[in-house]
Amino acid sequence: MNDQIKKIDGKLYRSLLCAGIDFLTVNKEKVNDLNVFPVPDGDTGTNMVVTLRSAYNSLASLDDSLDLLCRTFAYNVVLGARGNSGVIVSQFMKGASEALIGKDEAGIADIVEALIRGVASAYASVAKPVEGTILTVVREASDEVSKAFRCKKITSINELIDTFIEKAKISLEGTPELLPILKKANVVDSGGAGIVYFFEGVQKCLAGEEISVRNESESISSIDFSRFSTRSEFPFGYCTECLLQLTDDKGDPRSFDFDKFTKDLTAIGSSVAASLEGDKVKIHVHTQKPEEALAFIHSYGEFLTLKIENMSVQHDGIAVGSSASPSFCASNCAHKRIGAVAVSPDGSMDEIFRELGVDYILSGTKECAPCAEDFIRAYDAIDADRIIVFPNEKSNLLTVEQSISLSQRDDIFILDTKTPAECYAALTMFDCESKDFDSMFAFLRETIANVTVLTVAKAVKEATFGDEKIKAGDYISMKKEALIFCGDDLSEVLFETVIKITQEEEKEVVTFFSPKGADRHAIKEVQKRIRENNIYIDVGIIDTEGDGETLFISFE
Amino acid sequence: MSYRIFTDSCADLDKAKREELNIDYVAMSISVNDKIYRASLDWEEYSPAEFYGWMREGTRVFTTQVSAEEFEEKFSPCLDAGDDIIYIGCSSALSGSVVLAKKIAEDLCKKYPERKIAVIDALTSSLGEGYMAIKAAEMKKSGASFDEVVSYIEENKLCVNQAGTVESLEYLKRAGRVKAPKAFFGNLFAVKPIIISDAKGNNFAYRQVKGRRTSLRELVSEIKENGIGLEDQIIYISHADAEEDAEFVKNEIVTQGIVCRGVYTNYIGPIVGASVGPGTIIVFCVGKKVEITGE
Repeated sequence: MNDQIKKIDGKLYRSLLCAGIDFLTVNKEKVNDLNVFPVPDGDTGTNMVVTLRSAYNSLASLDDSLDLLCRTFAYNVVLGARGNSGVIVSQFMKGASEALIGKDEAGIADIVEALIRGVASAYASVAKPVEGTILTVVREASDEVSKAFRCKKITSINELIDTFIEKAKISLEGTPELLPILKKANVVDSGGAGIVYFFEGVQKCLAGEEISVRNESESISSIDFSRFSTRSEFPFGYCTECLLQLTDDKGDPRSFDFDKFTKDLTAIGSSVAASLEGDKVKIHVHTQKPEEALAFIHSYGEFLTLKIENMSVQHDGIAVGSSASPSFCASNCAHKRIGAVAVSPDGSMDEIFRELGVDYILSGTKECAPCAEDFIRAYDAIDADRIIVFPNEKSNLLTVEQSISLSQRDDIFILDTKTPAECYAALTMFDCESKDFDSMFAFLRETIANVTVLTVAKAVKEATFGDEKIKAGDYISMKKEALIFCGDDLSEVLFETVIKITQEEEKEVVTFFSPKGADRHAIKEVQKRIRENNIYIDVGIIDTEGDGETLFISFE
Repeated sequence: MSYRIFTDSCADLDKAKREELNIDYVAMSISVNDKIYRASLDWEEYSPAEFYGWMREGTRVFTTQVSAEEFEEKFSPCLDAGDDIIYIGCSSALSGSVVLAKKIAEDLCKKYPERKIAVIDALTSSLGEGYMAIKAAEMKKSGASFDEVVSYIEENKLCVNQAGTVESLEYLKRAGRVKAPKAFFGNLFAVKPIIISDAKGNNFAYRQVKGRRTSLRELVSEIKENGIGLEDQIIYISHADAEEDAEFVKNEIVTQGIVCRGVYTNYIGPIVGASVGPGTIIVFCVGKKVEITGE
């Protein structure tokens, strides 16, 4: 269909979303590769795809009503947002979709408005908006569209999207000028690139083009059910999600008292989230007795979708119930003054975290960062007066903030750790039974403020840092984005790095976090050498379960 | 009416100081590799380096409180000579000596009805206890009466502040002589406890810090925070074969701007040492009254 489209209805909205997500998926790896270090850590593309696709999937069984689809998409995209870029894009989509609520069709003016609202929502979601990122790209593109619209230059949605993309691409090219690290690494902003691909997909769909997507198999981590036995305990209840069609034979849907329904439901379970979409009700509830919740809900209509998950058996949490660790389970169920939730980016320190008092570990791999809902589930599972959350990765901070505002709780505090090494440092000082929460929390903050974490990794490609040329295969030690040392001998690099940082920053405690793939012999040699040279530096080695060779070194 | 000042093997006062002030002590005993030694404060049979060397190697050192015989042997001659006795003993939370002493005192007072024996529970140990003996002796030297000394020490004993740190909490744990939040009982690398003597005379690891050097600085910060009238005081440092660290603490006192009359340093004796382990450093001063209790 090559006609110029002037209105978007529910059906087209759904197709456009699908096309945008598909095209982004096809180009996911390109977005991931736009990282700014010689060391791979890209997950922007993946996070954006997962965020959008999970929300898109929630539309599966709904009618083609624009109003219903927009509401549902807006609601779910925020809940399922993963990673920094996932959160920002979710807020953009939420703002944009909300502008279309209550309409059967969206015209050009409506889409212009949606873009404006999307940008406002995205900016509002970030405490410190940084220019040169996806924010800049959507803002400049949206402003361009508004301007063109006012000048009556836009006569169709196709033209609107064309204008958006043209400006977005220019803005994207300009991001290195706004963010020095992009310029240094000679890349454009990955989040911005992702949004361009999304809208290009939309553009293609409007032009009648098909987008073919390779079959993406979802990476679902497998659960080892043999860990469960007759003696297993399941303290966390069931997460029950359904879409209910109110039916005439069970009562008068028109006089359905939604507020009372929700209130009654909170008597049966916790974490109740429900929304009324016309004659359908989307419900989410946590309960130890799913059969009661279902019976209650079922008395109002029939299930269009129904999903029940045993939260004690987690895909992306810990599999509780192993008879090998009854004490762990017990300590999780007992009331404590201060509970702790930590994200484990690669599962490498789960045991260690648990030993140090973490009650709930969310695993966040590069393929699958935790979303707001995961955190909420964690909060519900812990019985404590207050809860401290350790995001352990820069990209999780926004998601955690989102989860706290969604859960509307005031007893949850974020300790802004950007690496598991910082988390470890804080946990060594953590006393979960402290009666003085404020002092304990302030102390933990001080502890992490005092920690410097360096990574030591093997460069996968050549790069230049100032005057230093790095060859592929070199070991490089980095502090944030600055290169500290590079060389082909790991021991040398480690030793020189430790000496330099301990002197420059007056640090006295050095901890090596050594994954399974690292040369542990070399690290022990370095420890010995440091001890012989410097009696006042405490050097420790923590062996982690991480794969790969990338080491962390913490300095305190 | 004259009186004698006694303390015990936990007071960590060296010979010179004891002789200067005429302080006597009743001895406890230790057992190492099935050999029993008198817990002397003068290291005649082994040196501090040897003693703490045994502990570093992993040899277990067992301690025994002051025996009834020792009390009687030491107290009787004084009572015979017509002297009263003030015994300042190791915290009852750490040793049974003071409790036994009170019983012995009752019996002895029946035998010597003219005589008085005051048993004072120092509610601390090492040089905190040692300081009280010094104070009592100094008061005696300037003519204070038996009752004046006893009341003064009893009223002010909780104003003796302790701040100590150990290489590892394992010795104290094994000896059952430390109170700490459950979380601190792990043997985490580089995590060092700050141990005070609480209002009940227990060692209380009330907080912890990262790194040995930081822990030493924190001891001085505690003194600075809690000390009163430090410019007129001697600050006391006892250490378990950790001379360099004791030096570091002395320098740190200057670095942190604390003005005092001087610093008295001595080895931690075998009784306290067996419980705290090699590498321990403890600093004492007089200041705010201790009111906190562990658990």
